[in-house]
Amino acid sequence: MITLNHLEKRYGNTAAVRDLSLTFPDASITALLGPSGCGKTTTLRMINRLIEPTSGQVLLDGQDTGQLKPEVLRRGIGYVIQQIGLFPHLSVAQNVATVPDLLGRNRAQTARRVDELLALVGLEPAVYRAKRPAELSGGQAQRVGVARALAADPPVLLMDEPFGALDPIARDEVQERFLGIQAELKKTVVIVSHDIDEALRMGDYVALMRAGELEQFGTPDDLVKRPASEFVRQFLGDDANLRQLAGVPVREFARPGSAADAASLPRVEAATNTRTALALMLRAGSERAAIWDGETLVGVVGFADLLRAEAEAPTAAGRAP
Amino acid sequence: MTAAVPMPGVRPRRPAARLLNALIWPALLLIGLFTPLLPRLLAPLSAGVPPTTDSPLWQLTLVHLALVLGAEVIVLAIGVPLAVYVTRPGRAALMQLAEAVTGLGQTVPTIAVLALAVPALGFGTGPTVVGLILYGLVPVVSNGVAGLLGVDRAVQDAAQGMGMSSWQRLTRVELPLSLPVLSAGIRTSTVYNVGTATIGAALGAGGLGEPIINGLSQQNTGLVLLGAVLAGLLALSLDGLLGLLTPEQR
Repeated sequence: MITLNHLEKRYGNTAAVRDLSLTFPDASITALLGPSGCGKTTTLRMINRLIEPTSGQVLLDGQDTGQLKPEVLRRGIGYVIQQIGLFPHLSVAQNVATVPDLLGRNRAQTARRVDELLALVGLEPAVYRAKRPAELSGGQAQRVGVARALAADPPVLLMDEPFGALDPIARDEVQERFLGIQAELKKTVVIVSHDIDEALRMGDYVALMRAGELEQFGTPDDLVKRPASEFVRQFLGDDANLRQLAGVPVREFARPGSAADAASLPRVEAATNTRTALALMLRAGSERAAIWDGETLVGVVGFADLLRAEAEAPTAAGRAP
Repeated sequence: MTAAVPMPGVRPRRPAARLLNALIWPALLLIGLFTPLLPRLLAPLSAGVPPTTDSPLWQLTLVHLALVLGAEVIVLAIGVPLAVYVTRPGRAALMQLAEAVTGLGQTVPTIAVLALAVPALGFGTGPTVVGLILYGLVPVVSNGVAGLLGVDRAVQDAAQGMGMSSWQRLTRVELPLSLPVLSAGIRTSTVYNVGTATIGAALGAGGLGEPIINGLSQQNTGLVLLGAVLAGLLALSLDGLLGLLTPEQR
């Protein structure tokens, strides 16, 4: 658990972060969201002390990080950045092995761990192990970046706009894969983003910041349906509900339906996000759609189900504990 | 700055061409040293008599090589730590100073440096080596600084964020990544100094400058050219061989 205690960072007379107190819940993703210059990256970098706070504390499982040697602290925290920053003179495997090597771990064990991680992020170890970063696409490079951050199995992962430099298709793919990895590994993740869709999609919780201060902390549902201020409402925009639907697979809204019924309905895959499913229904001119998982019928979904879901404010189906 | 800073991303010639270039000049140098071919070719410029030297040519060449390489070792021992020291955070002013001072070293004529060093160190090898060090430092320091400053910020941020100490960042990331630019500087510095070292003969340091100085005083053009051609071949040989050691730009 990461706790920020009256954390503050000043440069001269300007405060980049002002009296910020916040707890990042364990085993979940918290998105630090906000406009440029709101202090979200500064906050993130104060957690692993790449920036030293002017005042206040960061507690990691109750321990004041200010008491630790910065290098020791950082080796226990995964770090992923937008520019990726792979070491161009080292192979993919050597890049991933960086922190285990710094910790002096056994070479053979590390080599096995590297292969495991490459497989986990969806890169065939035999193919990618010996490649140089220059031979990778942006999406592949960032997957190596994620594998590198996970190599020493740190409980905490800090990610600074990790998917911001990827093209939309690669971004979707890497985000999807990361959510899969997170479901398995259950790290405490802090992810800085200025992208509302990304924050609502990835975050179990969202901390919206403005001018160095916390504007609202809550589940994506809280922010969308119960904005704490006019700023939150405006920042998320009028289509916030739609954005939120983009973070939920349509499977979550399925009602039982008969195969005979389904045959006449437009087809959507179960893993499709609900916003896309809604768009498909609108395009097909149908009030309902059949949800298929391959050849298996999962159920049907209609406009009414989505409306009811809105009214009932569901726990956004399976997210948030 | 006149030091050669190769453009990042520009790939040098293919390995085969590099190898050929590295071997052709040493081969010509050996032919010049151990066969009477070169003096015979130069005979028409020395009143028909092949020019000769007091010490054998190979000995002059070895002395020359020792002067240059000995100075280069000291240049590296001073230049690399200096480049590292001034590129640490918060030393921007110091970095400009270091570049200005080393740059000044190159604008002062060689002969003036050597003449100024003589009263302090006497004749012989001492003042020559001092001159070679001063000249050799310029490309090493400026390329070292350029190389270290050229290391991608994101890579440094990642290295720091993953918990590398500043020493680990230097040895595992910054130096390996700046090596192509740094070694281009080392190569330039060595090759320049083969030329500079010929002037050392005027101070009694020996080397391939000896036939040049003697030839000038005896008005023996063949003898001058004998020293000059061999010094030129030595410079090209070192350039080719160091080129083999220079890692490719990434």
